[in-house]
Amino acid sequence: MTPQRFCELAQAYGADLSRWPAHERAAAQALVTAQADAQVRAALSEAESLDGWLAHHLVAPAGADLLRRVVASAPPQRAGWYQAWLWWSGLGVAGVGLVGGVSGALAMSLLLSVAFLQGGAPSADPAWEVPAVTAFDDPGADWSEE
Amino acid sequence: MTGDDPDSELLEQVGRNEPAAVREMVARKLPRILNLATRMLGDRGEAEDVAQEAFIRLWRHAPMWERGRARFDTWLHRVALNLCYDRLRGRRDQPMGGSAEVSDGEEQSLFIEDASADAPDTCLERVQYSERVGAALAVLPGRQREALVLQYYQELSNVEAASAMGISVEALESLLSRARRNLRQRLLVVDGSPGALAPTDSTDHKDPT
Repeated sequence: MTPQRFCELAQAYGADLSRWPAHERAAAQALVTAQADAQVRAALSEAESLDGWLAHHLVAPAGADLLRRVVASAPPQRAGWYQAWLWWSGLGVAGVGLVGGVSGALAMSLLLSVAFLQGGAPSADPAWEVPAVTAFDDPGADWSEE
Repeated sequence: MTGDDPDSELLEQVGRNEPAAVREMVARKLPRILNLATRMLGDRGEAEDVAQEAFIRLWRHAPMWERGRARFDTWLHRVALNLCYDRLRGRRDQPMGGSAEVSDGEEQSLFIEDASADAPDTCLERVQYSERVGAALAVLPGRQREALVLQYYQELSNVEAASAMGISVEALESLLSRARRNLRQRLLVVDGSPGALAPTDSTDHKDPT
């Protein structure tokens, strides 16, 4: 790196070599360490003065109110796959329960209908009493032939 | 260049609207964007509006962000800079005019939290120094101020700053040189005496970001 190039870079990027382009730093550091060139020393000193000034410009940190407003501006969290899976699972369980209930009600209504058709109206005479039959019982004898 | 973007993972979580990630993103980026906008606009209220708007765009783009396409921090700076320029264009009839642009009360409110821990004399000196630098920044041409703010205060690399500004690295260097030359004229030359009142410590007031 020539002293001329060093001065150009110092005028652009300041005295802190860590802010310089990465590929220029090593050569620049070598020039600084050598301290052989008056032009380099002058450029560095001038850049340091300005850096000192710039560092004094301060900005207050964000207040709690601004932080709250910015966080609140984010969209609400959507249901992830796990929540969606739980929701659909719950719906499935509820659906199975509902189907079971409907099936039970249907079975009971069929049972009562069969009992009514086979036994007719309830009678006080024990001879006419028909034992309860379900769809799972052996139908047994055909009563219509008696 | 963008494969090691330190914000990628967090951004993906933000894209899924995870509350903890949202808070972390705000903690990580709001100070930077607020600093940028304050220095570009010289007005705290407008800077806060710009920061809020930049984050609304961030929330909108996060779910669609393609890892590796661009560096997120540079993209966010570009968004904030565009918003700043929209506002600067909006006040074309009232260009930033130096210290008159920012009242004493407003200017003090910019840094009083940082300075409040110091002895009164030191605090007053810092207020004065900061006011002078703020005034000098305010009268820089917009592109010079942008280059300096990105490179010095935001600590972007030359490539990142040039990318955020949409210019070449050579053009960035030229803008930086002119910006620093202009500032030197305003800050280091007092009544024709170079270096008068110049503070010497350049490390204790850097932005925490």
